[in-house]
Amino acid sequence: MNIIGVPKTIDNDLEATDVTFGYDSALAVATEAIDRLQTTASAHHRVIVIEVMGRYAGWIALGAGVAGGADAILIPEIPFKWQVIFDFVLRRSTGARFSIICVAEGAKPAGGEIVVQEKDAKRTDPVRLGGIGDLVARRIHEETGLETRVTVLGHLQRGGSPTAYDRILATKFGTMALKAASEDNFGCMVSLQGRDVVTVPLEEAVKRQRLVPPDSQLVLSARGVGTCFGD
Amino acid sequence: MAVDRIRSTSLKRIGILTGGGDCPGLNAVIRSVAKPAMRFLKAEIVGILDGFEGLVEGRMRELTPLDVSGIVNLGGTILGTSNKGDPFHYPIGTPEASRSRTAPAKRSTITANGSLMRSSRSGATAR
Repeated sequence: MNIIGVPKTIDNDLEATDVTFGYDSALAVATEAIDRLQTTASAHHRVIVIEVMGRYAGWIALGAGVAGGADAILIPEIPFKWQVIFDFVLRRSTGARFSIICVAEGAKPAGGEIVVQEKDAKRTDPVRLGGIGDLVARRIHEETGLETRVTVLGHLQRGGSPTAYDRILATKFGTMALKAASEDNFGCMVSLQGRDVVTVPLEEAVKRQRLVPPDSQLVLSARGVGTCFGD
Repeated sequence: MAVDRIRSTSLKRIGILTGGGDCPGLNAVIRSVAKPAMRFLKAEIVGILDGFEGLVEGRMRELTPLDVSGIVNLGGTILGTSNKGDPFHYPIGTPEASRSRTAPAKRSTITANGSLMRSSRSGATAR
């Protein structure tokens, strides 16, 4: 069968393209959710944990956490230490008196395991992640006594209308896919490289996931504004 | 890229499949493949329904210009999707698999998929 792939995922975790469509829309939803949680967290002096998607990559948590001004961001690429988080929220409880912690569904403590919600053998990847938000909130409450709530964003992140950016990227991807088909260029995936949409071999595209480099500019910027990564 | 100059004599039928979890922008892709293909190539566009599960089970229908009009702003996917259609769970010889082999379609297929592409095992199947 002649196949041309178009990279689709809100998780943005494909190595062979700079960006996947859907990521920008997911970021917009997650950022707005953090904005809304800030007001209730500050009014009630609570710790609020928000769990976002992203699978084994922390792109959504990092992007939305920075854009929404989360106080702590926990991502799979930077395993966290429980005590660092407890100390962090306790410190904030006497200053700002509230904390927002943005947790990627694939985040895990150093030396610990990811939290799995269910396994389904029929899925391409049988593992469905989820539950780390609950765990983080429970542990914080147990260890610090602070009032803690959790919000799991779930499928809200993929719902609704795509952002202008995603509509434009998707339209460029689709027309490039058709162009490739008309040129008998099969077995490829369309890909954004810099400002251009090009095609890359499917073998390249499926080779590996794109994870957040722990020393990436965005992580460093977040640290610069005082964001805790729990490490 | 001059899409308005796309010319091909061989491309007569294009299948479009959206697989894996849904994602904002899928309909914009469907539209941007189907519209120029209908307009400039006079190609038949076959929508494969419900992702790879629909492909394996042979669920598909021809799309009309009306189907792909006014959908650029819609979330979800007009074709439906599934993240439970791993072809490895449909061994050759089952009724589902035979149906799909005899089904019309698939001169070429454009897939918008994230989950499946992550696995090189499934990537090989898709080809």
